[in-house]
Amino acid sequence: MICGIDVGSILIKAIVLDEKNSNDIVLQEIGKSIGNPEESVTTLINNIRKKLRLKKRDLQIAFTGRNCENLTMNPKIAELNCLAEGIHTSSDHNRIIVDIGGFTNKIIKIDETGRIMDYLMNNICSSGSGVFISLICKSLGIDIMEIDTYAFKSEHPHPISSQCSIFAETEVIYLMNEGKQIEDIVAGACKSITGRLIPLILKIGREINQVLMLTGGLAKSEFIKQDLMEQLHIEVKNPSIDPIFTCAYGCARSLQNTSKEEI
Amino acid sequence: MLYAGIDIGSLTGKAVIMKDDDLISSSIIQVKRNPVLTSELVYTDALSKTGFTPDEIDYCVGTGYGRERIPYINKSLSEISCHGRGAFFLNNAIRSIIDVGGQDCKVISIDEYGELVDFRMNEKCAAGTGRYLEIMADLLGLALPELGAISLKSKTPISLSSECSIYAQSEVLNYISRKIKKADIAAGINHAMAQRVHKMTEKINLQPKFTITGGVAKNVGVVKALERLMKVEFQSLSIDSQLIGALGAAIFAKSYW
Repeated sequence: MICGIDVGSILIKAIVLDEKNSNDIVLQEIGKSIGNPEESVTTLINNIRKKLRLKKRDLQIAFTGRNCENLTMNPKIAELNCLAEGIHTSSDHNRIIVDIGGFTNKIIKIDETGRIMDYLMNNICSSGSGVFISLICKSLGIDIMEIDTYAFKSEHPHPISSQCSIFAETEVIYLMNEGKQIEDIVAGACKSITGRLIPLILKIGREINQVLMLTGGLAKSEFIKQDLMEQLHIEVKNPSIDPIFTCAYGCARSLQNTSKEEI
Repeated sequence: MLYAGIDIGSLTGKAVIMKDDDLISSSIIQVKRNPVLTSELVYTDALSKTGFTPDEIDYCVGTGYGRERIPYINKSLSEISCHGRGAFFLNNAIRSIIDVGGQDCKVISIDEYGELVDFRMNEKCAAGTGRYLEIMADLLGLALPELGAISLKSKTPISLSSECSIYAQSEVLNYISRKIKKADIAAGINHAMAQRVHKMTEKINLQPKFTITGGVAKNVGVVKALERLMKVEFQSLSIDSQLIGALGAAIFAKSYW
């Protein structure tokens, strides 16, 4: 079996593929990456082996993600390559990937062979990434999985003026005290995310008139998807696999490719 | 004559009462639900120590992030001018003021008359503001005032690579989980904070002498690190570093009366 582990800034995502059985996804596992990733990754691997009753040599593993740098385990594959491979191997004719990660957003343009042609990534500031919304949800006392339920009810989305995730967290408490509706704040927060993404997308994919593939933790939000579609006049879709596992999936597929080459 | 200066910041409210040229009372409180309430409580507290009533105050100037919401002031002024004026009043050799507040950071240059020459301000990003230190102290299980003192015990400070408070938070959590000494983590945090402020001081032409004001001036670790980075020595002021904005406001009150 082949396993790709994406050690993200907040979550660890692992996916196991059966290479003898047309790369079927055998297992998907999620763990927390905050604190000591090395420990969390080890626990996750042990769980996987226990669940699938696999001996060490029967599970080939590769690592990727923002937090995998400090792992002592190997091999490691660059995150952007994994995302590209994940989309290329799971979905047809898609050339632009928009990944909303825990701490960073990435826009990647690939060619028809899955090769990266261009990319943009903000890894200096967490604004507009998953943690931005997650801190706002924490302040509002709602679950991040509920953002669509609230945002779709909003008639007048209230813009969040803070760019900084930390300041946004306190701004929404202030907005609540001012009597603003939760749904308007949530919709405003989602619009902050798309507002940060759109200029990046346009920079990379201005001339491209194709389906945009949304991946990462927030990719499942219909509200964010619809808002991107309305503003960009382009089709926005999720990959056929669970979007949060795209990078882990690509990591497993990349590992498989390199193993084949070695043989 | 009686004058008052009120400084409503993001985390604390400050009030200063002056009789002619003397500071006779002051108060610092944590912010309440809204700026109106904060401004009323801090004013009442400062006045109660003097025996005067609000009616007896001849002129009152408000400043700080919540200044527009203070109901009883005669005039409001930007905190940039007030910090400059307050620091200059206490020591007229000062030409550069670095004010690090709860949610912002200001670098202010004044001339030999105490007039504003130039300034830079960061209120967009939590890194380099008091908020950053607050988050980090919280992670370490320390009270904010402890962060400075404990860092002085460090012999091998950690180094934080990220600027973003969120990224740095996750770096710190990693150090904590690896059981690195609190003193070493605190020293790394204070250094990162000082680096960020240092970058801002490089954006304008600053002349000696220098002083540092605001809540962060109470963190000796940050102050020492910043002194090393800027290669200067800060002048210490005779009153609480958090009161300088309110003091400046009271001095303006006198000139407007």
